[in-house]
Amino acid sequence: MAIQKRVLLVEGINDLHVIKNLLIAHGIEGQIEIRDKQGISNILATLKTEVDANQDFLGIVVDANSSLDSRWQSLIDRLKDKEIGYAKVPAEPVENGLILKGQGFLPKLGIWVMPNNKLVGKIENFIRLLVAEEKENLWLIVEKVVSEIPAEEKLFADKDIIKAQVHTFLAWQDEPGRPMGESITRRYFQTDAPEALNFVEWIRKLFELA
Amino acid sequence: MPTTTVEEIEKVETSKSKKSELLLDSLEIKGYRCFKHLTIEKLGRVNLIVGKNNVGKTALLEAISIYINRGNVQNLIHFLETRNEAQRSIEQSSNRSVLIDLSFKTLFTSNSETSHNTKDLSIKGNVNTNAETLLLSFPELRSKDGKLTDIARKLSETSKMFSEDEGAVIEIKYIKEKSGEFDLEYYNVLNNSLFVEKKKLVNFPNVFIKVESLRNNELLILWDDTNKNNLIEYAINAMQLLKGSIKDISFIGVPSGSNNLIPHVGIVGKPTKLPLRRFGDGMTRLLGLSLALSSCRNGILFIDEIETGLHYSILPDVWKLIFKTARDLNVQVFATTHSYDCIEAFAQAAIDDEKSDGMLIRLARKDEQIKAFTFDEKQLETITKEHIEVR
Repeated sequence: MAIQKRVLLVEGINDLHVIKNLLIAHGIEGQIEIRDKQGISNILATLKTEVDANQDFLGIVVDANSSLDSRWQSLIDRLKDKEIGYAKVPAEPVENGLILKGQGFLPKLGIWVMPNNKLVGKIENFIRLLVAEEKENLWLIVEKVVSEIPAEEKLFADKDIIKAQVHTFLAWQDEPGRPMGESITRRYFQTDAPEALNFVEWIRKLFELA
Repeated sequence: MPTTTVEEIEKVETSKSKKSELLLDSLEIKGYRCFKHLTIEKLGRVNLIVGKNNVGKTALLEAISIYINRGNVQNLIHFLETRNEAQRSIEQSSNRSVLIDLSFKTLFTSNSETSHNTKDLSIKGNVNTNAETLLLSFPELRSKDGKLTDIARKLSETSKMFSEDEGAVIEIKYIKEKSGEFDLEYYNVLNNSLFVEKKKLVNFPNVFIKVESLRNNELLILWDDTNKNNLIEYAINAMQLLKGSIKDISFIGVPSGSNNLIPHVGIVGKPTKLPLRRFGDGMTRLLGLSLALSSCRNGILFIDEIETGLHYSILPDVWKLIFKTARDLNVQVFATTHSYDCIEAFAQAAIDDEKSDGMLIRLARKDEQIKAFTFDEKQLETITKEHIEVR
């Protein structure tokens, strides 16, 4: 049997590092090529090239930045487009992550919408779900502090409040300000939190890893 | 009267040859070896064919060669022989024609047992934007009422070795769809003879470079051709990719008793010419490649496993040279490779050369089905920029 190709496409460099480190923690990183596509529009624009180039497995992790449904819709529209041609694509996101069997020459394909296929959010919302129990208190303090920034000092948009929270949280650890991806395996996060396990399970099923 | 130099004519010619004026710009193969039905809607000027083992990369080159040579029988037999298929039943019979008879069927019949009825081979392409079809088949020799058909009668009159055995006669028909012009020949495998019903169309120049490097005598033929057309400069440029100090090339007899002429090169600052082989296999490969390119002017060059003998570090320059020469001399190129370095170098050269028209063709197999995926320049750019692996 020839070596199988397992490719995971992500929206940004932070997503790449977080997922990579999570998979390292679960011992399955080496078999998957994770690629930073620099945004959803590029994922959509180059999907045909990716599908044509990959015969075995293709995973896609996207953010649900604004509306979960519209993000989903743009992706499945592209998958169903006759240029690519997946059939039986569900109309709604799937709770444990979508997995479509390979059809004809199309690779087996999976989609995970960050953070958990239910909530609107992005990689930082996913990280939030991994905060260790004993650090919950610290997280609540972070939320409070960030929310109390006076309006004239608050430069970030409301939609980015989760980013401000995560980076504040990281700034208050024993080694302040380590990047997200690397931090995920430190003890203030749990790589075996339920949401992390769900994601890893999706990866295992999609890429057929034991 | 103003004189026009050769160079000026060339400039006019090349500027006119837009992408749509490729010799062959699409292809549909039915029933050749592993291809039950393979369609490639868009070909480029320089095409690189990739894919896992046993997906038919070489078979695709063969099919195009068979098509462009309009079913030339010697060409067909040659492809059987290179795959050792003409020797398959050597113990059963010493009669060469019987061997060929047996093996021709392996060309047509698709590998699958289930598709036993598909004994026709058809290749349809767009040649200079006109649809043209090559049809190879085993013609009916007896009609339903038991009489010999017209063609069977003609063949039995012209040949003592006429046989009604299945596969003993092959019909070769090449049709220009628009004008209705066609060539029609019958090949009798038993006595290796050709019955020409109608033959008018002219073949395109083409060369097929197999995995093994070209032999000295093959190189010599190409060299003569290239020399005659004053295109030796292209060959020297090619060899300079490997050794910058090469200044000329010639074929010289050696006193060893062999009457072969051996390729030698002149080196800047060295008084005597040195045998080309001294510089390694890559040099011979490169010479063959560049000579073949220049003798395929306005035609097609086939190169199986192009990376053979070439170190990965010179592949970008090799592709650059191929793109440029192919455009200058209006050659369409079909090559295969196993090497990812070679694919990367190809993609980069295709992007860098803005006038180029490169196409990566990936063959993939699912069960008995083979499909071609094409990647044009825009997609090649994505592939290169994002390191998408196609192989």
